[in-house]
Amino acid sequence: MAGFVLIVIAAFFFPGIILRSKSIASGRKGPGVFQPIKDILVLLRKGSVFSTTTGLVFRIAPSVTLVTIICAMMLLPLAEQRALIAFEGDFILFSYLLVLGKFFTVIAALDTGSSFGGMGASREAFFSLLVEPAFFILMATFAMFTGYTSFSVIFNHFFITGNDYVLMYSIIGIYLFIQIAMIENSRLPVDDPKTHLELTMIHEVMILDYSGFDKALIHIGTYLKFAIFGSLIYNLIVPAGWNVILQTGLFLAVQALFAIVIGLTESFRARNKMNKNPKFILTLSAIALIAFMVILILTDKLV
Amino acid sequence: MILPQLLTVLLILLIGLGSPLVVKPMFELVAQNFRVTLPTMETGSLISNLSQISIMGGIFVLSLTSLLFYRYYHLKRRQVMAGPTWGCGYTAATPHMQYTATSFAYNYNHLAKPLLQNLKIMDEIREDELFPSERKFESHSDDFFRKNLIDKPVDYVSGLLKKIAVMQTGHIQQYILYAFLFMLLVLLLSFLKII
Repeated sequence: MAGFVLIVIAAFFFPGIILRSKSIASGRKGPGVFQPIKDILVLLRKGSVFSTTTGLVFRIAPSVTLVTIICAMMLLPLAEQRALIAFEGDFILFSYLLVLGKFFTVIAALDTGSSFGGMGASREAFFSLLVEPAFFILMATFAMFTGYTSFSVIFNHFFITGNDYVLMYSIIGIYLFIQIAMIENSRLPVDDPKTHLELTMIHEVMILDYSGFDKALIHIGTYLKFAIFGSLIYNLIVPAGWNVILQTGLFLAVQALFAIVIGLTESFRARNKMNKNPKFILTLSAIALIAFMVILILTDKLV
Repeated sequence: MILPQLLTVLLILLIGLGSPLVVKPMFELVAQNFRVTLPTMETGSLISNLSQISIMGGIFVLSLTSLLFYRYYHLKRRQVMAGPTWGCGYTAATPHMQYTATSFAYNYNHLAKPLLQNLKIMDEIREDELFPSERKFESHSDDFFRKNLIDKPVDYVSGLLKKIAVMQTGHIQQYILYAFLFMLLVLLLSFLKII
C-alpha cells in the first residue's frame, strides 16, 4: 500500500520538477513546480468539446487508460513491502495493463477520423511494439538473476542473491527503465511533447481533440506512468532491507532525481529523426538481450 | 438471437474474470476421468495466481465503472459542445477519407516486407514530363503463407486432377475397361508378390 501511495505523491511533483529543471537549464524563470497540477485543476473545471466524428470509444478511452495505469501501480512493491497484488509472473500483467491503456488511446485517436490522429496512433503503436521486447527481456534477466518471476520477490531478492554482478545489472536496468519510460511516455529522443507541428507529433497529435475532464485524465495518467517507472528504478537502486523512513525519503529522492534527469536530457538532447527511432528502440532490446545472455552464462543455463 | 449471444458473452466474462471458478472443477474433472494425478503444489499455485488476476480484473471493472459514472455526472454539470475534428487545414471531404488502414499499417508492412511481398504497379513520372499524363496505381499485398502453403499445393493437386480428367470420356465401355485394367494390375502385382 505504501508503494501505491508514494507513487501517487511522486506523480504530483514529477512533471513540475521536469519543468523546473528545463527552465533552470535554459536560463528561464519558468513556471512553478505545481503548475502542471494547477493546469489539471483548470482542465477539471472546464467543459468539454467533442468531435462530431467520434463515438463511445473516444469518450471512454481516457478513463480506461487511467484505470489500467492505476491497476498497474498495484503490482509494484516498495522495498520489503509486497505490492497490493502480487503473484508469479505479475510483470506480464503489468506490461499488458499498460498496453491495454495504450490500445485504447490508439483506437480513440483513430476514432477522431483525423489523418494526424491516425498517423500519431500508427507511430506510437509501432514504437510500443518495438520497446516491448526490451522490457520483457530485461524482466526475464531479473527473473533469471533472482530465480523469481514476481515484482515483489524479484526486488526483495535482488541485492541478496549473492551474485557479484548485481551492480552491473542494476546499472543496465536503470538505463533501460529510463529509456523505456521516455519512449512509453512519448518524450525525447523519440517524441517531443512541446512540438507544435502536427506532422512531427506522435502522442500529442493523438490527444489533440481531447479537452476538459478527459484531457485531465490523460495528463494524470502520464504523470502516474512516470512515477511508476521511477518506482521500478528505485527498487533496483535501494536494497529492500533498509529502514522504512529512509526508504520513503530515498523513494522521493530517486523520483526527483529521475525527473531532473528527464528535464536535463530534454534540455540538452535533440529529438531523433523519425526514421532513426526504430533503430534506437531496437538497440535497447539488443542491450537487454546481451544482459540476458550474460546472465544465462553466469547461471550455467545456456546449455 | 440475442439471448444465446449474451449467454456466450457471460460465459466468456466468467472464464476471464472468474477463472479459478472454472479451472478448479476442470482440474478435478481431468483428474477423475483421465486418472491423472495433478501435483497439488502446482495446481494450488496456478489457482492462486489466477485468483490474483481475477481480483485485479474485478478492481479494473469496478474502478472503471466508478470513474465513468463520475465522469458522466461531472460532464452533466458542465457545458459539453460538439464540433469538427481538428484537421489543421487538411480536413478531407468525409471522415472516411481521412486515414486508411494501409497508411496505419505502413510501418508494420515495412517490417514484414519479406512475408507480405508488397507489390506496387505504377509508371514512374519521367523527368522531362512536365505535365504528367493520366496514370493508374495499383498495390497488392500477397499473403506469403496463403501463397506457399495453400495456393501452391492446391494448384499442384488441381493440375494433377486436370491431367487425370482426360480419362473422364463419358463412354461407359471405357470405364469398364479401366476397371478391367485395374483388376489386371492388382492380379499382376499380387502374382509378383508386390502387394
